[in-house]
Amino acid sequence: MLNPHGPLEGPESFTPATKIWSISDLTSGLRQLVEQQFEDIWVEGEISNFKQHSSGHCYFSLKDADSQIRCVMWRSVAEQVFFKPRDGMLVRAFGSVSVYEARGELQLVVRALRPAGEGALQKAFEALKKRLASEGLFDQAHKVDLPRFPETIGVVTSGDGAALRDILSILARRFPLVQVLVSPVHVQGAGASDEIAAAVRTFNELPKDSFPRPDCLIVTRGGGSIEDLWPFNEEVVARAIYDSVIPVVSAVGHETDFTIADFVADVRAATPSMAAEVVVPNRFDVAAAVDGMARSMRDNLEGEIIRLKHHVRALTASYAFRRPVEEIGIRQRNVADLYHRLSRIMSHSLQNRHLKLIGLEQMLRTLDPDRPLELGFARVERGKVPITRAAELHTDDLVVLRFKDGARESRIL
Amino acid sequence: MNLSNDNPVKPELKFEQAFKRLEEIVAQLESNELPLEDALDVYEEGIGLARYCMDRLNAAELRVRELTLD
Repeated sequence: MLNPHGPLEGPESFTPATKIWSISDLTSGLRQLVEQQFEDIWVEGEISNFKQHSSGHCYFSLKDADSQIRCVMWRSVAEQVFFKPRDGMLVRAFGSVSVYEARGELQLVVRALRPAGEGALQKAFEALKKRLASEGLFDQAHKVDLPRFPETIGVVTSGDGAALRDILSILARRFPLVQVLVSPVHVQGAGASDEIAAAVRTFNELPKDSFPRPDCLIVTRGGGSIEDLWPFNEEVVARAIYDSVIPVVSAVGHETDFTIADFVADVRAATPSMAAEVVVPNRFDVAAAVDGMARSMRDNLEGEIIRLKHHVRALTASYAFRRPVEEIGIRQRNVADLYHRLSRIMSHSLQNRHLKLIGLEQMLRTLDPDRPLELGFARVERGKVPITRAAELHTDDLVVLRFKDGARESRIL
Repeated sequence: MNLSNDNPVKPELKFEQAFKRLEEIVAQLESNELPLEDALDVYEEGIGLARYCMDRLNAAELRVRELTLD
């Protein structure tokens, strides 16, 4: 509307009729106008600056080459969105435009969000699959074998779905000696992927006490559309499965649906029921094997005992076994023989010795230092030292004369 | 099936360990390399393990518990 007063006239020319808007009135008016014109519309654009607050509400912008508009998506709506919106994603949003009066800002209140166009989901799937494959998340070398006999099985799935019922039923029939720990989660909607990933990580963090750490995990849900299965295509789930130290069996959807989770998992089962079949053996097969082993042990032991018995019998019957008895007889005779010979030698040798001893005795007697005393000689000692030559003595020496019957002192002249 | 919070069962021996040891014993006895006394000891151990495995396999009920995330 042109100003009737011309360009040079303006704010100064107030008349009582001029409406002076308050900001609140302006924004409120704008809001009404906009809401009338742009209610329940579909908008296509690229997501940017996507943020989800702890409240669950999402704030982002949708843009095209030339323009952008701010958007808000309340938590109740966000929960219904099956994929995680990411910056750069082309989407279609359904909602109404309004004005956030407090800030005078246009905003699109989004009530539904989809990926844009045909095959947009498929494209997103392919892009993520390619990226994760290049990072090695699908590598065969990283996959581990399932334990032969798990003690505890962790299951991540919907708490009240058919998948869980099928798995429990099959485990009960097939191998009831296991313990099953169930972590119930949402299996569709945007929050689902976070819950599934958190459940896998929580199982990995369990210590081995009251809730013992499972020996393997089953991550599963029943069939559905690509949107329903989408949480199992989210990166956060793929990373949690890849990081899991516990082997993971993925069973999402039906035979031909492959999700990213299926590629990352250690084993992929076509259905939840097949997952239950793959994680445990049939207890009747195992019982038969145990029985077979018990029998084998008994047979082997019996066989061994019989073998040894034969061996012993053969030995006692053999010449070699009898021979020792004869041998003892022979040896006894030898010993008796030797004894006689020894005795003879001993007595001869004793006689010789005796003569020799007598001879030595006589010699010893002649060498006895006291023998001369017997013959009447005396030994001369000076200060306990024996004197054998007169030349050793001096006048006035005090000596001791030892006779056979005693000793007397004497002085040398 | 029951969904319960009973006292956790703590088997002294994991089934896997029992079964594996049983397999080892069978192999030992088959090899005939053990002296008789050792064979008897090992046989006794093996029979005990076989009994343990059968008892566990005859378990009547699947134990199911719920793990809630905080």
